[in-house]
Amino acid sequence: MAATAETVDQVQDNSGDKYKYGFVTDIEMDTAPIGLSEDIIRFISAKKEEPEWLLDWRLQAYHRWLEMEEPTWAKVNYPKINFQDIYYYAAPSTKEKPKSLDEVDPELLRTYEKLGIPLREQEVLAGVVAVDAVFDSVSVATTYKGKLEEVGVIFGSFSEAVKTHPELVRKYLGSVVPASDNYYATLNSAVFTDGSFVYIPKGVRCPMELSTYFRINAENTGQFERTLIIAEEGSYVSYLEGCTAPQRDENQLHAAVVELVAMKDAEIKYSTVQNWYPGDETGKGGIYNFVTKRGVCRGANSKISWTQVETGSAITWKYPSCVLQGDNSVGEFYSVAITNNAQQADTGTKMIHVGKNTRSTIISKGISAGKADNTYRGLVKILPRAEGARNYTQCDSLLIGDTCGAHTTPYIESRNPSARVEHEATTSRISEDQLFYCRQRGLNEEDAVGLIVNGFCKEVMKELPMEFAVEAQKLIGISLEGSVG
Amino acid sequence: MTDRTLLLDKIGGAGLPTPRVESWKYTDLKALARLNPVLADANSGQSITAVPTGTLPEIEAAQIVLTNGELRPDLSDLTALPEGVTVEETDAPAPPEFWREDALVGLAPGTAIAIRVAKGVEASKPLHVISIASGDAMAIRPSVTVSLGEAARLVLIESHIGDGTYFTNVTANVTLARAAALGHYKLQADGRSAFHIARTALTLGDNTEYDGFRLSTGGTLARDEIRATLDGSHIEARLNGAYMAGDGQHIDTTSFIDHAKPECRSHQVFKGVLDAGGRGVFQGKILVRPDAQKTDGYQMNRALMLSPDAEIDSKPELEIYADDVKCSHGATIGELEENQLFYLMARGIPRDRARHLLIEAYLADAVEHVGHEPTRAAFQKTISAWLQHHDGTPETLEIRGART
Amino acid sequence: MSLLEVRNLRADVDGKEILKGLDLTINAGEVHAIMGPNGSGKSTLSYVLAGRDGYEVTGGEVLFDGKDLLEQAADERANDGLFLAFQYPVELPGVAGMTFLREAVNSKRRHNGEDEIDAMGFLKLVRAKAKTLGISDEMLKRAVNVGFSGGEKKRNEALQMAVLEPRMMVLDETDSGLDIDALKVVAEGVNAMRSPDRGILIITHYQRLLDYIVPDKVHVLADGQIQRSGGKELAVELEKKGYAEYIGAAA
Repeated sequence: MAATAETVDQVQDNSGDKYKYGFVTDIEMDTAPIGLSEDIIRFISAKKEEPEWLLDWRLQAYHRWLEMEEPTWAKVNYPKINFQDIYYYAAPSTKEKPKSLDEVDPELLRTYEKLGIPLREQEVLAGVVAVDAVFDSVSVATTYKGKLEEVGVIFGSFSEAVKTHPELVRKYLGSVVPASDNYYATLNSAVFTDGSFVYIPKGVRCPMELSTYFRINAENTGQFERTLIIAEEGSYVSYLEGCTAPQRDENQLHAAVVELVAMKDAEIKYSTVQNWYPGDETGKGGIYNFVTKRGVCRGANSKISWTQVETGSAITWKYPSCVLQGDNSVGEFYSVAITNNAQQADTGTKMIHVGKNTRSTIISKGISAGKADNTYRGLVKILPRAEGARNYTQCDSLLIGDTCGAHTTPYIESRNPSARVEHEATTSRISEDQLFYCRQRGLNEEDAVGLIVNGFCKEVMKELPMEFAVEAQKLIGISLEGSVG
Repeated sequence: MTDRTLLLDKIGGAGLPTPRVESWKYTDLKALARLNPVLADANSGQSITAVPTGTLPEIEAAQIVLTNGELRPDLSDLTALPEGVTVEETDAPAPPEFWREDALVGLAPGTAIAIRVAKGVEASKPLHVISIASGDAMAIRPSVTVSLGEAARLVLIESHIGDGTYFTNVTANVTLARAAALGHYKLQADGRSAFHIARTALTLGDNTEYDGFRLSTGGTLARDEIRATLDGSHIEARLNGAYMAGDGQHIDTTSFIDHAKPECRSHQVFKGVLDAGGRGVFQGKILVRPDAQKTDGYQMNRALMLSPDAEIDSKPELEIYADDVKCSHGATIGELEENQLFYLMARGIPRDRARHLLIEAYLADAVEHVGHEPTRAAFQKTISAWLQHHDGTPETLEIRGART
Repeated sequence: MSLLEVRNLRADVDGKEILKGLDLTINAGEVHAIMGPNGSGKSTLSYVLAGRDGYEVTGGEVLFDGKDLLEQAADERANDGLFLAFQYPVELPGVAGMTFLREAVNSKRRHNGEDEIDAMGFLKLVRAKAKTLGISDEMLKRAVNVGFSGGEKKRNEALQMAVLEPRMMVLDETDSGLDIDALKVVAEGVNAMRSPDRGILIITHYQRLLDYIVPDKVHVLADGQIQRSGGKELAVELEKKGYAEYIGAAA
């Protein structure tokens, strides 16, 4: 009894002030007036010098959004959001967009250094990762652009892609997540500011990991990024995203949309380490992370794999999904979601099997501590044409202490007799035996909990690219104990 | 009871639940609304003059017969009840809190059949409650309340049969006092054009044992909803079942196990067979409240799809607020194993026969969970009969004197 | 100064007194065996020494190297060099054996103010020790104790012992669940650790293990107290006569 109680105390002790990314960068900002209106959308579009069609697209989404209702089906509670109390555009002021890193405000470079994201290429290990850094509403820097261009890979900010490759953006924007998809996606479609754009041409294996680092800095500012990744026939790309935000008492909204398109024989691996500020131990502050992520395996034998480690945010509402259209296409979802203190997470995936012999795997590990609630919510849908489809789902929950909750809500729908669907879910806790065993071998309680939880998450962690795995492993420790590292 | 207002008027402004309501997501009552049945006449059941044989499980038991929802002393064994068991007609109890919002509860009957087993009594033979329906575009409301006193024991079989396009709105309220044990086995074999919507509320006390099994084969639309409140410690609750849906059938099983106190065990295994044009729905939820430490909860739904136009929708849910628990659930969907079929065929068994054997074995495995041997054997026969008929014309039930 | 000094130790489990004034002194270089019938308090003693929660010390004291052992948390005792080989080693799903060993070694090194061990050197060290215990690389990659046979679990305990090099080893029913070949391997592992500056306490019901790890002293534990002490011949006597007379004495 006591061992568990102590763990719980330690876990609870560890308030939000252990969040090491909670600092604020003091920098001069360009912001749109507070609130949301057609004028604000026109302002954003004008700031970004967008073509007419895109402004129309935004305005259509906006009008649609006005008629929509905020969804309430998720198992999360929060006060009503006042959408007029948010800044929809904030950017570090510069007279002109920097031509190279040397022109980027040194304060910004320092911010990313502090976050452990060096933007100067020479500081990055032998070119394994190219980084796009998004600060509030705009992309501030992208590394290794040149090297990527040599093989035809387009990687950069979304705003820039609108200018340089309008035909691609126009063709694919909203093709996976339509502007009218859901409340937050529609809001995003109206007000999105920046994000990353990736295009991998036919047959190209992207020579390095691509990474975007999202940072919310400004107060009362929403971040509405939009990411679009297109993998042409036979291509491959591994994309990573990381997120942090300063520690503030007010909640901030993050409503992103990510669209992935994989053509025949293409593969997209999308990894996320989400570490937005979670709020303090009483639930004050923190990010509302309401995100729509969806990929479509458009061609035969294509593959989309989502891996996420969700440790931050006050509220997470997120269901990275795969539409398996092409025959023999594969969808994967590997997730670790940790909630502590007053955090709430309602996350999972949708696997829509359309094509023949499509396969999907879902591995979800939810860890709940403090007074947190952690819900897996998922849908596996086998359509009549999906001859021979296969799904395997495993959802495991770990509870630390008796004041938190762990929930599993899978929806499984099959309309094809040859499909085979398997779902398993378990709930457990860290046993006193395990803790004592570790401590008898000299590990202190925090290290023991970190080790056991990492073991619990292993099947997911091994899916992360090496560069991220170590960071994520530490993050798991930090989110639960606050002192590892 | 003689109120012949149309069903939908009776329900009033709220209307029938729609798929927009989460717990009715997969079961649409539009067809019931179209049928818009009227409440059956008080004496409409009197035309049924005998208990039909064939479909009903053959079990030696004291029979309590309801026709079109009303008690028929003339067809029942009310004078030959086991000692310590009483059966009487009483005012129907108020619906439990958690179903107050459900519009169909508004259709609850004025009276219910109350079965009581006195403290310490072990009923010497089973009770068999038989609800027989006959008629078209009518609604009936069979209702049973069962209460077992401390350490009492009973085996209760509940059967539903009938013919016509009727709607049977069934309620059963079961209460077990400390250390009581109930075997509760339900056969839902209503007519193939019938609507069967049932709500069973179980309230289980300390140290009680509930062994439940539901076999559902009837109706064009059937919804069997069970809500078990484990309101004591050291409860053993088994809630198992099997469902078979053929052409034009929609069979929904929805369970909710509420673990409120520590050290209880709940175990659910449901198996379904969906043939051409059949649709199965399984929604199961285990709730473990903060006090319910050391809960052992298990739930499994397995569905066998026999045809390209079959459909299964499964939603097993866990909602857990206590940390020292062992809870798991699972769901599988698939077709017959091709290598098993091949193996049987390689031994000279024709394909159809081989399929039949494998399906029977699959369902037999579910029925194994029935704790009462005679019922297990009877249900086994029901399954075999269903398999004989399921691809031919549906069995028609002849109810003597019903259509005069 | 003796390595482990137990004085008049009393302990409760779930409010019931299990240890009722136990005395025991083990000097560096000695191997002691505690034998006793079921329910005599053998496992309780090992858990109290290792600092498991739920074992409440109500009286007496334990000095380890002259330091008050009972004041310390379980991990501090481990890092000071007290090692418990578990009767039932615990499964740690997903935690690779190598990772676990490295965590344990680094905890000890941090405790001693030393730098963390370098990965390559550590791998070499573990492999060498694993080899003598018949532990394959594959087994080191597997999750700790998960899916291990009884023999594998005990060999794994012996490996941890060898890598962590404790000053005082407590072996709780190490022979349970082992066939004779596995028993020999584990015993060899323990014997290899015998040294003038290390103490060993073997807790066992049967004399069998003591054929392979020959003790300097044997104690009979019954009803929460040491009832009798002697040389290795006492074990042989117990094997012949059983514990009947001690159970009688206790009642």
